[in-house]
Amino acid sequence: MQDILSYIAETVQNLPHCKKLGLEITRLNQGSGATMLRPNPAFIGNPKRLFFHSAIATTVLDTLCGAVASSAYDGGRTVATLDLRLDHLTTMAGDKPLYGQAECFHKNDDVAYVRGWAWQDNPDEPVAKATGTFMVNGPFQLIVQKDPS
Amino acid sequence: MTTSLKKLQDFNELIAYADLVGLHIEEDDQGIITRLAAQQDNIGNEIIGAIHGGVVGGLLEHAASFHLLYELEDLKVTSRIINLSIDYLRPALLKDTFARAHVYKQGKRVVNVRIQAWQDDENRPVACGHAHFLIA
Repeated sequence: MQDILSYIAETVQNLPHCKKLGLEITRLNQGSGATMLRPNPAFIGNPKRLFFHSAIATTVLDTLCGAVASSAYDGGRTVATLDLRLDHLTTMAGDKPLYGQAECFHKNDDVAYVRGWAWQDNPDEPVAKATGTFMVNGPFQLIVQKDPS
Repeated sequence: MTTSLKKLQDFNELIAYADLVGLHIEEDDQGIITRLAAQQDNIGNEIIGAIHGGVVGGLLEHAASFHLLYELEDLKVTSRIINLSIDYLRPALLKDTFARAHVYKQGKRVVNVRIQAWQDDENRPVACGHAHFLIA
């Protein structure tokens, strides 16, 4: 299982958009995980007050909740996001890292239910919270099969 | 009275995140729309070549914010997102994606907004959402 967890984390970090943001999966266990995103001036959504765009929290939590849903099953599964609900609790300082944490709180053969939260200064003071549901598909496989010829 | 398109576009140009993922403010016969340009580095699923769900969520948030600037008459009114619920309906493939917002209730402090995103056909949305914004 450890191999598949490392493989999921590695694959998700290397998705083009995650790579572009520099999103790191700092921990992935079966059904829980954590991320870290270093600040970047390109993430600013409020040019006057220099806050991150809310989409940064959305992207971090969507990515992490998806990875956690994949990791919750023995051997890992691919998942598709059915819905995602974001509570944007407070603004995010544009010059501090954004940390994320998520856990799968329920799963069955078809659906994984995941909650996640993001913070900057203190894990007890979240800046955003997310609840996502994911449709569960086949074994985790994100590498495109190369033509054998 | 609505805020002119040019003013919104000028403001959008100041937003680094809009430039990062390729968000543009445009207008059609029904009002303003937000366009997410097709960019390889917005991909979040390499097997089917689909845009990252977080970026699609960002498109909905951005479209809602700009729609509020557009409708709330003058740029002195600021809005802050409270929450957003996104339904992912179909994969958003590597093409331009559009989003249109609609205010279905405006109160004194809170605005309720629905947003829909599509690619080729507005009647076949790739995602939809509803959001609450605090206005002050």
